[in-house]
Amino acid sequence: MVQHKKLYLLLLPCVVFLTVFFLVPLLVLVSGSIYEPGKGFVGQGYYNFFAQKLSRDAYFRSLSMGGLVTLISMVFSYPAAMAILRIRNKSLKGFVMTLVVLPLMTNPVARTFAWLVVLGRNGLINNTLLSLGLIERPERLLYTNGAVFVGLLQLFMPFMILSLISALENVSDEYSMAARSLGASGLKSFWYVQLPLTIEGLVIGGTLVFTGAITAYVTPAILGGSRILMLSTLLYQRASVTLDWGMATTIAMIMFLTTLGLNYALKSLGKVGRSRSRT
Amino acid sequence: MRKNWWLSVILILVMIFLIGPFLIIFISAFGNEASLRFPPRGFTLDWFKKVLTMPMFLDSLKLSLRLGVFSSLIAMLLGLPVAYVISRYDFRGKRFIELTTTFPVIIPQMVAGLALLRTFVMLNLFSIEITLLIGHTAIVLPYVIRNVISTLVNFPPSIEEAAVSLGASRVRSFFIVVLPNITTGLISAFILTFITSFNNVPISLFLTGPGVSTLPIVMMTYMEYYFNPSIAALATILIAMTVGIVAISQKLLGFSRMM
Amino acid sequence: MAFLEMKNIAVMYQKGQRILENFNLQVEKGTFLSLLGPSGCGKTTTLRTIAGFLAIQEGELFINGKLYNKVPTHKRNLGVVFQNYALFPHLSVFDNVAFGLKMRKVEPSERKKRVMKAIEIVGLKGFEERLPSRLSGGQQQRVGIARAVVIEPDVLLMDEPLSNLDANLRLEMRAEIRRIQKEIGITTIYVTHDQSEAIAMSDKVALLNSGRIEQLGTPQEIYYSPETSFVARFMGFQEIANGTVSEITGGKCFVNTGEVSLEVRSSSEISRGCKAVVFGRQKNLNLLKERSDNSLKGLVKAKIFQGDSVLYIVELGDQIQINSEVSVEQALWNEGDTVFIAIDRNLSIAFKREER
Repeated sequence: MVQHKKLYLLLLPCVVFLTVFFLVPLLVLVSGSIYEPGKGFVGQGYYNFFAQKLSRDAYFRSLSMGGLVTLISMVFSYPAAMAILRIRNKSLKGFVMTLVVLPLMTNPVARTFAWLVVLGRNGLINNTLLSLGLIERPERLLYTNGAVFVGLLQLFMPFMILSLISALENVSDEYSMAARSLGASGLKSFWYVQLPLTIEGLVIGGTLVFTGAITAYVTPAILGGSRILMLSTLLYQRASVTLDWGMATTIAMIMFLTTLGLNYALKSLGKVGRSRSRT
Repeated sequence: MRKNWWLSVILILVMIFLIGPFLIIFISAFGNEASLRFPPRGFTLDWFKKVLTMPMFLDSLKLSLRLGVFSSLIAMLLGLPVAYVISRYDFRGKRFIELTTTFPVIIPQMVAGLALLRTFVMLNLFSIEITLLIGHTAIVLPYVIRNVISTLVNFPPSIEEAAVSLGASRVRSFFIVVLPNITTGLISAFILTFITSFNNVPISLFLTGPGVSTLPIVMMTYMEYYFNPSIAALATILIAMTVGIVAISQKLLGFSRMM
Repeated sequence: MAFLEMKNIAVMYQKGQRILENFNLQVEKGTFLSLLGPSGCGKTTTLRTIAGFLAIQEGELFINGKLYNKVPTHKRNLGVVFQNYALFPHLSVFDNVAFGLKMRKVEPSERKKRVMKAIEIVGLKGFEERLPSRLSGGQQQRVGIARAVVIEPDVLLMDEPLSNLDANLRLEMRAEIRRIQKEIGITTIYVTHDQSEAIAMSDKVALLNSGRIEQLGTPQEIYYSPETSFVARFMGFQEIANGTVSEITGGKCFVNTGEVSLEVRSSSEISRGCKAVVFGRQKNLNLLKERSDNSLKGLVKAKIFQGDSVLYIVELGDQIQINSEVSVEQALWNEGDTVFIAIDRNLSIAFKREER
């Protein structure tokens, strides 16, 4: 006996909450980026954003950094995920899985701070290289693209690993055995059979990592500072430091639209990958 | 399985990459010098003492704890009915509800934080703390719903039907038959959302003010001016806390995939 | 009016499709009625409608003279036994069985008495404190039954309760359930897709097809006298020959197959001159060396040794293949031989041929 009216009552509080307290502010923000009272429709903000070198650079740095982090994480997470799934010992496997998930539960500030200790003037790398006599003075490793890259990679790799584990679990060993029996070498079996079956996992993981890398604030802020400016740190600057509201709103919108676009693009890429594998 | 030794090598390297930094933090938290260096020299627990007594850290810790508990509670109150309805029924507008409730995940959190700041704080509608609460609740809601749905999926509707056929109204059967059996799932959902809220930076980033800042934000600000092991000590404490919570809940509730 | 009566009931899915339409059923008090049929035929829907899990769009449901359409499930006095047992995982056997009594606010001492009696009836004395996770499938199902009967319901509804048990257990539980039902004398509606189960347990069997009752009768009637080809097929008859009906007298008819004119039982579907199909049971088809009265010619396609019997696959006219099992001593034919199949006049039936 489905009592429809009572059902909708149960859904109401949540929907109201999200609409009033979340959706509305976002709409306010969106409209603010396009229309400012007294100035009429303003597409000006977007134009300014791409006209200035600083913001342009920040944007493309975010995109390229995100893409690079995604790619590298895929390259290393795939074998890692495969290795994890091959562990026979159940408790060891569980332990390793926990170690993979654990970083996701820890404070990103703490996690990123660790890199300060590793990459700083007095940090692990410099001191090791100095004591080995390989360099004479401490190198500046922080506030470089490399530092931000490493920090982002460490932050987001677990997502990729988990996503791939989930995808690989569903690929039975029998597929590669069948491929082998039909004459495919290990590499061919991987390329033609295993990889296409796990494309979905790559897409899901890739989306998480890419969008995460673009919207992350902590890592670029701490490891990049104002020297290596990314979209998120630029946004913070404009909103909290220079109080340039119009620009801040515009940047926020650009961030939002970029992540939406990315989501869509990666999903379509996944579909193409899957349909191609059906040849 | 031949040739999987290089897989294991890569795995080990990856694990060192992921976990190594934590170990480094632990070790450097005990260093004796004012300026952080690695490897550290000397051994002291002073930094821990300092961190645990600084009002700046303590106040923000209290705020973060409050936020974590309340946003999780509210999210569960709002989300549990939704999860129940979605998992048990097909109805008009189901797709819409599913989209709406996963919407916060798609929005970059910084953008959301900015929007909340602009709308509620700057127009003086709500205090910063309330706005923080709203933001955190909205962020963790999708996780609560997803988590509870997967718990309910493992609880066959026929058990509820049995209760109803024996004379319990639908409402009563929910409380005396469904709830006792999903408590474990609810607790793990609560822990997960608490941790998510506690560690959150992007939403809390813009929503700070005099005396109102979450712990991660305060840590970041401190790091801009000081570079000493006290952050390492604080980080160590926080990581130990997280590990402790996860370990205890795994022991008590059994190993469940937290994602 | 019968004890349970469904009058012109219509029930539909949320999407708007009608599963039951103009559905009528009468069940006398104390009867064990099986709802039998293939998956999707509507038997579970009927059960769930009686239970109140599905809303009645049109028509009336009466139990013991009272109109039940608007009565919510938890106020109907029915006992339901589920396919996957649906025991409350957090309650002991005792508490599971006591649940319904607790809802009815029966006093604790009276409750205990009735629960213990029910547990004894189903043969689980001593298991009161166990949790469902510590019970085998058969034991869980017994608890489910005890839980449903202890409340002394008007009707007992069972939804394929034995489907999740292994074959031996199923046979044992069949007898148990029937014993319990007879002991208590409760009106029972039993859903199953297994025809041997329905035949063995029931007073009456209703065979359903696409939301309609094709035939309602005693097990003997359903087994020996199917009224439509659907019922015949479901109950194990197979097609033997195609032909045209030349004559109908009394309960018998003659079907002209082209090769021979067979005398078999007639059904209500056929009329003189119509196209018909003769149905028979495999074990009633005897192999003969020579053509006799009422027999068909066939070709032995395969002879399969099975230990203490031999299976013959014989092809008859119209490329119809039948199987026949004989003892080793009677297995006189080899592959490629001609053989004749005796068609029993009283056990074979002619139904109308359906145009595809």
